[in-house]
Amino acid sequence: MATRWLSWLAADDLPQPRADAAAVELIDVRKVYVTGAGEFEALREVNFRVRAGEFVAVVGKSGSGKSTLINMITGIDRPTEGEVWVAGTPIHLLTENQIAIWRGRTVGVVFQFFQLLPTLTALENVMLPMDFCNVNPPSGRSQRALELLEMVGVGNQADKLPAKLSGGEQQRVAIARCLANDPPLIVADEPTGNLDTQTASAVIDLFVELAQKGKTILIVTHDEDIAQRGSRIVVVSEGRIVSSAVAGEAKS
Amino acid sequence: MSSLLGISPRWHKVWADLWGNKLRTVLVVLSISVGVFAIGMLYSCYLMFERDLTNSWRSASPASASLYADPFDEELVDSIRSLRGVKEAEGRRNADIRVKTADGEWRQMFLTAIPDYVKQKVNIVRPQTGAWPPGDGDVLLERSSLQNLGIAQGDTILVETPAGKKREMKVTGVVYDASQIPSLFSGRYYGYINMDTLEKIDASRQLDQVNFVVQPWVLQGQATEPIDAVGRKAWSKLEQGNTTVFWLQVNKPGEHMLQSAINALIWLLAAMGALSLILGTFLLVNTVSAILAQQVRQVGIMKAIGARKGQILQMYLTLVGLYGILALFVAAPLGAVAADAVTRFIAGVFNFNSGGLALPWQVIALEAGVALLVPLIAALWPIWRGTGVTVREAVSDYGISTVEASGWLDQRVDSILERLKKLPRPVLLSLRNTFRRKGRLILTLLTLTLAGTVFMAVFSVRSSLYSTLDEAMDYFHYDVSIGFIQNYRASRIEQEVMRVSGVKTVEAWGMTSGRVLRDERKESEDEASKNVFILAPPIQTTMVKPRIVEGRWLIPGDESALVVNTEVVKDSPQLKVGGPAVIKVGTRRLVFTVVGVVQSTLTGPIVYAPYDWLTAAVQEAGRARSVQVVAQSADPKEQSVLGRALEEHMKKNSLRVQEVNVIWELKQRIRAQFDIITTFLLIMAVLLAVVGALGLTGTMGINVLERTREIGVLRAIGASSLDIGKIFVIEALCIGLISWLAGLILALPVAAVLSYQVGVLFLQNPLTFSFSFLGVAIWLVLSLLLSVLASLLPAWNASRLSVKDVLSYE
Ligand SMILES: Nc1ncnc2c1ncn2[C@@H]1O[C@H](COP(=O)(O)OP(=O)(O)OP(=O)(O)O)[C@@H](O)[C@H]1O
Ligand SMILES: [Mg+2]
Repeated sequence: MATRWLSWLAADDLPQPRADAAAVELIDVRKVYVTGAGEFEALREVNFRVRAGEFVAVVGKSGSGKSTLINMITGIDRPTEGEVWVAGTPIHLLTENQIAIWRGRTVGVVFQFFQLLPTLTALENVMLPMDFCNVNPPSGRSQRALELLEMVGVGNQADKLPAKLSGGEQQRVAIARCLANDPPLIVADEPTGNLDTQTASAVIDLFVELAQKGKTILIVTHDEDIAQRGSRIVVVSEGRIVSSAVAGEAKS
Repeated sequence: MSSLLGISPRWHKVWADLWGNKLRTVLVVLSISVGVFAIGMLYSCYLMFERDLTNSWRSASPASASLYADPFDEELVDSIRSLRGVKEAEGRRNADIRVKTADGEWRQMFLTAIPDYVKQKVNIVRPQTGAWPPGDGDVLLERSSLQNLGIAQGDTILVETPAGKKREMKVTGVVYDASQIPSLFSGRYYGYINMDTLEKIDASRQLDQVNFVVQPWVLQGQATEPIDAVGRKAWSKLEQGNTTVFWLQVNKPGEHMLQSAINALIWLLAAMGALSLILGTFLLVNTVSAILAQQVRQVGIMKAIGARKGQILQMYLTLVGLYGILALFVAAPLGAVAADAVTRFIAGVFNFNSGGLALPWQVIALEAGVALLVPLIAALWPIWRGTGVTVREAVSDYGISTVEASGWLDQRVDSILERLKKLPRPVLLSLRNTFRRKGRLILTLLTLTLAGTVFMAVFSVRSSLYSTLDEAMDYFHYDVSIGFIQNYRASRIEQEVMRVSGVKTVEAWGMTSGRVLRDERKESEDEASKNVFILAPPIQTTMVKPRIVEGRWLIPGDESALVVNTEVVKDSPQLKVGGPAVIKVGTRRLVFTVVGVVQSTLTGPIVYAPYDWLTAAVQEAGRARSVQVVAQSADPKEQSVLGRALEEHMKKNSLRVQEVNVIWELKQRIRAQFDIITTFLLIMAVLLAVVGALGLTGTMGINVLERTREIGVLRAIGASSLDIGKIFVIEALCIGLISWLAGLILALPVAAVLSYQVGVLFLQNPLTFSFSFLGVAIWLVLSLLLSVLASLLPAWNASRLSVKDVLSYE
């Protein structure tokens, strides 16, 4: 406790990332949840590597552990055992605050629901990560946010509050926001879960485009077609990675 | 928009939380304001009292002590002035006489003649309006006497001289005498004349009082002993001049004579301020916790996109800080206005000059400190906890606000609700809602309960004050008493009284005054005790019914027996039942045996001796100086009329009246003094009721907001606006009732303690405790009313929401 306090007060120096590392690397990761009913092993001995620029689709049945796996990589959750390296940083060793700072600059996160702060406009939502992580000079932030919104096709909605946007539009704003600090890694947990097929496909186009620009992308999806658009499909079942294959080969 | 204004998005979010939810902001700001207002008002009142009271009083150059004696000449004053340790001495002449005012009523007036109005040195009387100094045959009135006396400048009053002659005097001006106890408290009216006018009231041009101020080096802090020592030297000086001295009155240095009463009022205000602050802070904590509970996901999202806990902490603390600043803007001016009003009121009552509103920087600094620091410190824990939520907890549905019963308490509540199954659905739903958020419920209940407790306790203090008064007044079994200037034959007095119509029974008493001495030695005469009244009723008197504290009342066969009241014992603690008491009456030293102690009746130190023995001892056998009368009518107005009639009749028959007391009027006057305390207590009660109302409205507002989705679902399955409104009103009524009950239980001990304290502070005696069921009933009605009102607004808001509004919420 005391050390965490101190680390919160101290400047949050991040360990220097190792050069030449994989974009994501999980080594012997195990995750156990302790619940009232007893222990539950959500991830078991997961070893997993993603190279920079890959577009990985994570699939599996509900409750298989996809979100848990993804949360290890974003630092939203911590492994019970094992190591998690992202872009050369051992995030299993970082404090909460270090993770927050690291995540803000390194990972763009997109969720399924409740993405945007309801009291801020789309534009402000996109500016928020730059604000928190102090990336870009303040004067240039709204310009950059607008460009990002235009890039995802909702530039004309910039001044609306989230409640006035459709689900698809909200998701696009969320994607624009995850790009705000220009992170090398983007992680999305069922970003199209509550969108219709057409809108979902348009959103996925955005991710494909980003992958082509060199971003590393990890998305969780239930949709076979969407999964097929990635460069690799990882199948999770009962807390284990049961297959990892280049897209198109998974089915066989 | 915000980018145009140049505010960064996170501060814009803070602004939106503040501005976007105005009802909530108003409630939070008001809950902070209540405490800031009370504390600010208290502090600035305190500072004004300090300044004004001290100024008014110091500028009058108050006497360190006063000596009262038989008339003496001016030279004696000079010899006292030249005593070592005396800085300034001044003589005056007093006359306690009856005056008849324009409305035809006779009243008691204390006339003071001052040798040189221009060169006053001690207890300085200052001109207010009209003539200065008083001309021959004219009188100036003290300003605190004006209100009740019904005389204006320019009126003529009729005075009765000690010799029984009637003379007219003109009221030509108004003065301010800071050294007299204001009329409201003393029941006396003060008039000022010049030395020549003394002749007009048949008095010699001599003095009978010396006021003196000691040299600063004599004083040792607030001790009265050094002044006493100088006073005794002055006493001997007067006696060397062949003057009989009655009494040395020593004042506590540097302290206004009503300081303790004012301090008590300030204590009362302080208690009120602290309580409002505490309760307001509870409300704030409640609301801030609710804001954070409601924004768990937003906190999670911010963390997910890179916000550190410190940054989020800062945002919410800023929000609270802004609430505090707004509260400061609301509370500071109100506090100043209230402080001004309170100081004016107190200045009027206690007769000092209010120097007007002062708003020194200390007050603003204190208010700012309270408005900012207290909320920030109080909100720190809920904010710390709320912003500590992890991203996973926030975005997954695990871990947050599990509704199912988990703890012992919840299971208890659920099982109780289970048994109440027969209640209608909406009632059940309300009850379950009420108990769902335990932390908030507890804080709300605590606030309301405390507010209710004090509200009810305040009413009990009020009724205790009144029953103390009633009990004291129960002592009097007569309606009118008349004191005479000299002794007359008892049978003559009684005969004359019976001639006046409306008199039922009459009893003539011996009456004199004296000083209690420590023992029989001659030297003990130097040790001043306060004057005591010696009443000598017939042994089987039916006119008074004293409450025996120790020993017994006078019985037939008693001779030198003495009964003393508690006030006397306080001053002369050496008096014990069974022990001796030495009292100096005039030049005689009388030795009694104390047989009993009776409760004092708010009328000062009194001892009782058997009529036959005392009148014989002072060689006035068969004579009396006072008469007590029971009226035929129980109507207070008629008793007053009887009092006047008796006075007129006595005067007509050349019985010279010193004073007439109508018991009913005495009671009225004491009640007026008690009402000052009661007024403050009621202000306190109202403030607490406001806090309670704010608390309940806040809680209900939060509850409605939190259950917007639930309301949507209810509407979707066909609930009418009325049904939904009912749920919240019933919930609020439940909270109101529970807090009323809890408050009722607490009110009894709290009221007892508060009554005790108020009694000790104001009357130097605990009050006779009387629990006020009126207060209980008022708070019940008020709680129920407040509950309905507090839930109506949020409930109305909620029932207005359409299904679509609700489902797109958040
Ligand atoms: N905080 C937690 N406490 C207890 N058990 C948990 C917790 N989080 C997840 N689990 C359990 O771990 C398992 C994996 O959960 P996870 O959320 O990773 O599944 P998922 O594959 O993402 O499912 P879905 O497709 O429904 O989102 C589930 O069985 C879930 O019940
Ligand atoms: Mg999942």
